[in-house]
Amino acid sequence: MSGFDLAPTLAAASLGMGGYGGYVWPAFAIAALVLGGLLAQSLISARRNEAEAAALRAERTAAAEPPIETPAESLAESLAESHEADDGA
Amino acid sequence: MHRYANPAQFLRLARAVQPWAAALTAVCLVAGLYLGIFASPPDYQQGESVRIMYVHVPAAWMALFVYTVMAAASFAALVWKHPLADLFAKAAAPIGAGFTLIALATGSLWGKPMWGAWWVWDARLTSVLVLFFLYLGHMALTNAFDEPTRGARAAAILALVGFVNVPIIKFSVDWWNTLHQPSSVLRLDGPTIDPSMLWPLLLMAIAFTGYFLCLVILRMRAEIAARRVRALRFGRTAG
Repeated sequence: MSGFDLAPTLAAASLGMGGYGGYVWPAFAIAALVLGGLLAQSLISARRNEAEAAALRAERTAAAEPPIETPAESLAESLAESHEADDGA
Repeated sequence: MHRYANPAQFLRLARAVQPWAAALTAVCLVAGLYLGIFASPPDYQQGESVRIMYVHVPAAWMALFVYTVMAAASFAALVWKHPLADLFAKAAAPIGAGFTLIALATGSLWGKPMWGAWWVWDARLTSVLVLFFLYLGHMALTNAFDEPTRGARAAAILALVGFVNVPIIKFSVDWWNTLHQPSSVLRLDGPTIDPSMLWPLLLMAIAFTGYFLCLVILRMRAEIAARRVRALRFGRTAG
C-alpha cells in the first residue's frame, strides 16, 4: 500500500457515513447477499445438472450396442468418445 | 430469431458471451462502487445517505427491465412457440424477484432516515410490491404443473397480464401524490442529477445488467441440462 494514501477518502466516507452508516451499509449488504445468493444457487444447479446430463449420456453410449464398422473407424470413435467422457467429468 | 432456437446453438453463443459479460460486470461494479462510496459527494440535503441510491436505483431499474424482457419473451413463447423463450422467462423470474427485493429493502433503509418511515402505502412503493408478488406468482405458476409446458404457458399469460403494472410503476410518481421523488435520470428533458452522481449510478446500472446476463445464462444452462436429464431418464425407462 506504499505510495497510496486512501486515508482521506476513507475518512470522508468513513464507516459512520455521516451518521447514516446504520442505513447505508445494510443497504449494500442486502444487495450483496441477494445477488451473491442468486449466483451461488445458479452456479451450483448449472454444475450439478450439466454433470448429471453428461453422466447419463456416457452411461447410455456405454450401454448402446457398438455399431458394425471397420476396425479403424471404431477405434477412432472410441478414442474420441473416451476423450469426450474425460472432458465431461 | 429462430437461429438461436436450437439449444445447442444457444449454448455455444452463451459460452462465448459469458466471460465478456462477467468481465464487464466486474469492471463496472468495482468502478461504480468506488465512485459511489468514496469519490462521489454527499447530497446537499440528504448527506451521506444518498449513497443508498447507487444500489437502490439500479436495482429498481433492473426490476422493471427484467419484467419487460420477460413479458416480451412470454409473448414470443405464446405467439411463435419459440422454445427458448419459456426457458428464458423461467430463468429470469427469480433474478427479477431478487432485484425487486433489493429495491424494496434498500428503499426502506433510505426511507427511514429521509421520510421518517420504513414503509408508506403510496403509489410507487405499493406498485413495486405488486411487481414483487408478480415475480413470485410467476415462479410458483411455472412449477405448479406436472407438465412443464403447461406451467410455462400459464406463467407466460401471467407475465403478459402483469405487464400493465410496469407503466404504472414508472409513472406512479407523476400520476399520484407520493413521498417518492420523481425521475431524475430517465426524463424527456434530460437528467437533472449532477455528473459526479450520474456516473457511479450508470456504472452500477451497467454492472447490474451484466450481472443479470451472467445469471440468466447460467440458469438457462442449468434448465437445458435438467431437461436433457429428464429426456434421457424417460428414454431409458421407455426403451
